[in-house]
Amino acid sequence: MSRPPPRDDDPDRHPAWSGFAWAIAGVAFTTLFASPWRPTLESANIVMLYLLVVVVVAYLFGRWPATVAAVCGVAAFDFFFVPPHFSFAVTDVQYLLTFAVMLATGLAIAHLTARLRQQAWQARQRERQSTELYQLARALSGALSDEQIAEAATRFFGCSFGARVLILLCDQQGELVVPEAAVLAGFGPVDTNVARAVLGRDLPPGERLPLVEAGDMLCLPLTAPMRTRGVLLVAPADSVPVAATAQRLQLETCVALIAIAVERVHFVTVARQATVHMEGERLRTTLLSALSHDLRTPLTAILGSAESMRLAGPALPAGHMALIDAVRDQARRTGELVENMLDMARLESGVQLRREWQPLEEIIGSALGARAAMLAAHTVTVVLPPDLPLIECDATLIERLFVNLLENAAKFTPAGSAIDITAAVEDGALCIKVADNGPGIEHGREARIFDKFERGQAGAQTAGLGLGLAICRAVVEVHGGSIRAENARSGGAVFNIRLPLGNPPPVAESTRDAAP
Amino acid sequence: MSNILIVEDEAEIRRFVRHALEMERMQVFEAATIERGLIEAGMRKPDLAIVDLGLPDGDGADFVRQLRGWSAIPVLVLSARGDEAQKIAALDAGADDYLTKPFGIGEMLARVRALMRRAIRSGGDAAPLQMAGDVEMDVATRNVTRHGQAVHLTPTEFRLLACLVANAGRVMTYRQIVREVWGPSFADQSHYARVCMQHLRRKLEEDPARPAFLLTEIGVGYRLVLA
Repeated sequence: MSRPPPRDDDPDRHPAWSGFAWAIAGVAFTTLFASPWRPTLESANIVMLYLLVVVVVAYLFGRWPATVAAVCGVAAFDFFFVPPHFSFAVTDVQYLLTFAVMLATGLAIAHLTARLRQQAWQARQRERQSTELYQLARALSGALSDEQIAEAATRFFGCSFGARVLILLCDQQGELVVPEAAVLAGFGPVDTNVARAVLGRDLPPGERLPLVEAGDMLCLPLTAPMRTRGVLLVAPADSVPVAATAQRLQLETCVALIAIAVERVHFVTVARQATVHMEGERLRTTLLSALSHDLRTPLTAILGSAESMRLAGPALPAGHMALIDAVRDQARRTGELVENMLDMARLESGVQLRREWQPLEEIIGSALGARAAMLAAHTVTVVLPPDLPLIECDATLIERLFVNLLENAAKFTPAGSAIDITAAVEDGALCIKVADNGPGIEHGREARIFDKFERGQAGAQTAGLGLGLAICRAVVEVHGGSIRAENARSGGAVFNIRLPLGNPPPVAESTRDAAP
Repeated sequence: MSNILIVEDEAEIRRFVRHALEMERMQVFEAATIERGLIEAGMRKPDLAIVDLGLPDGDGADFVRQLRGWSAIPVLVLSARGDEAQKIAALDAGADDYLTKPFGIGEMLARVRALMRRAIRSGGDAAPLQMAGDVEMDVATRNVTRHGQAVHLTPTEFRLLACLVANAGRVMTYRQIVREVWGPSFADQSHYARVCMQHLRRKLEEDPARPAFLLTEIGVGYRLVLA
């Protein structure tokens, strides 16, 4: 850290002893210079010489040396030049007037010159401060990281106040991030509790910066427009309390500048993260849609070609027909696997829900329609209370949930089994039960069946990747609900789904008759 | 003989669609891009267009929008599951129906035939419209009967039914339905349509959870099929 440059202090507050010596020396020199001319020079001109000394001393050394010069000048004039010489006695009384005017003029000159000097000094001081603030502002405006801000702040406080600084920032939750012990030790005894207290204090806008002192350190909140971003610790370099020497206004300004810079860097980081996130999202979406296109197109072509071969005449031999049917069925099955994989990939990559208020009946109806062929040999009963509220959900995903549950039931229960779907409102949630009277779930596997690539009974001859129920769980979870499987006492598997109800919109409005 | 235009960039899909349609004694014209598709549509005056949603020079919805500027022919859109937003955009732009890839030939031919029939029927006849489950609607007298018994519908329910009947066979998006039945200022209140549909199904369908003619196109809208 660089040492602060020598500062020019207010000369009148701490006058140097040398100034007084020079004042006396000046008077003495004038006396010596004027003595040989005593016979020829008018005493009025000698007075002028003494006054000149006062002006020079006032300009160079300030008020008090100049006052001394004025008094000494009057004394020397009286002693050396007013008859009787070498005596303070005065024969001509009118000289008393001369002394009085000379002293008054000298003091006035001392005062005026000193004030001029003082003003010049203050102006210089102000200019230096503004320059330092400009430099700080420029350094901060170019800062792109917290480290650069800390560097700029360190440089500024070093130059302006001769102090060292440490910036403690808050994390996302607004908690103070305490740096490693080594950094703290290098800075000094930091009381993080004081820093936390400063942080916790809410500053109303326009309030003056509170100067909280912890030991000989200053603890200043970095209050930016949005919120307090952290704490600035200022430690004096030479154990001179900073608050005493620092200009309060300058301190406030630079703290505000640092706070704004910290906030700007924070938002730059947030924006950058958002861009990265969006890019990632876009890439995933592009990849998924490219993948789904590239998988579906050949499947569509295989399926369509196999089917159109069946239509073609003249009729093919029966063996060929069976082969073509096999191609078609396998293409269908592969298509379903691909759909499930894509569904899973989409759900795992953070799907965008198209939430709308939906009646459950319609979604179940759509799922039943989609799997009508598969369920032809099963008896599906849907019993829903007529006053069931709407649920806010992505209908296509919830339909997938039921499609997969129905597929699962169709796959693992023998033909002729019953599947019952019921629903009820229970403490703020919609509870849906999908029950079958099949063999049920193997004991102890009730939770595991929702895992990916988990397939029914070991070695069972059922097709599929074991994604169906994993998709069910993912769909329910993105809607903030839960799904659980158990065995009914009477036998058979029961899937319990809970979906949060939310606040359904008024539906009376929709059945009310709008003006024709 | 009907003319069909297929706009699809995958040659393999074009080939089997063409094959299947030709088996049905239809004449098929092909295009691989929107630009070419619009030229073919203008030149060949097809009776129906089958359009893929993802084309190299744009979205299928763009094609539909441009085509609708001067042609009212039925449009069947080919799309992938999960592209609901794209589907809805194409339907809102004026497409009549969609098929999700991979699709079967039988399903495709059924949709094509239904759309062609619809195009012919829209000439308008006064006979009562028949729906599944012995439901009849007389558009002229605004009477709806089920098993010969009059069914009381509220004016809104009737308007919803009339809107779907007028577009029978087509997929109507929630937005289109709400706009037509409740008015443009309700366009974002698609649950109005769903709640009203629930009431309508309870009055007209045998099993509201398994509708026979008031069909749900999940995430997209509704379709009414006439018997």
